[in-house]
Amino acid sequence: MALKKTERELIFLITSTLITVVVWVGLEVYRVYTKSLPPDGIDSYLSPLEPDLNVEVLDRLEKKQQ
Amino acid sequence: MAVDYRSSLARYRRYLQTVQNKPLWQESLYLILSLLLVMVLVIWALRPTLVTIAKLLAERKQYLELEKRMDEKIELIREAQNVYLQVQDRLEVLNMAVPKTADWSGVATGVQQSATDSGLVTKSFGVNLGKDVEFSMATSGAYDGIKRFITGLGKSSRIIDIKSLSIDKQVGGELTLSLQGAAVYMPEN
Repeated sequence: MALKKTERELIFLITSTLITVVVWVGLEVYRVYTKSLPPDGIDSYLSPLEPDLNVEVLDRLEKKQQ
Repeated sequence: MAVDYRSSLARYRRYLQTVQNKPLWQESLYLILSLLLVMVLVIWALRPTLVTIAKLLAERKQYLELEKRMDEKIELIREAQNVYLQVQDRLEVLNMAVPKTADWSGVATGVQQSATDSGLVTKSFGVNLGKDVEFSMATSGAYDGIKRFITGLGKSSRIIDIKSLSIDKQVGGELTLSLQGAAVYMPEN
């Protein structure tokens, strides 16, 4: 028993559309997962900080004033 | 009762043809409807759900990364605080060397006072306030006084950068010192 040509074409069309929709949804999900933006103003709190202090400068300043 | 095989066979064949056609149409119809239903569900139910899940997962990943970076920053701040506590008492030297305000009048007064204390006579003095407090001056006096004055500038609590310096001997034997310098300052942001 063979399907009618119209039915075959219709099923092929719907299946192709479904695959396209699934790919579209997958790509959108991937885009959302990879393109999330950081909260506003957070970078100012994460600016690099150098905790070391060049104490030698203080030594030289103190020595200079003596 | 005699059985009419021929008519029964013909009727059975017609029945089979009907049965053959109907389920096939029903199956293909069900298949088409199922595919359409799946598509509708994917677009209107699954897609928003998956997008929301992906967004939440991305945010979670991002906040975990932020938390890690925040922890590192907090650790650095702790280290900086320890360093600050160790040198806190000595920072006044730094504030005096590089003050937060220009205090150009303090520079002018201090330099001229230093010249006077060294036995020099200030002929002219000019201040230009820019990125640094730039000044130029001309003084006259003995060589020892000039030496004391320049040494005093070098030992000044405020850092003074001597840009140029020239010493000329006048007709009467008096020395004239022309000096251009700059006192640095660092305004707070």
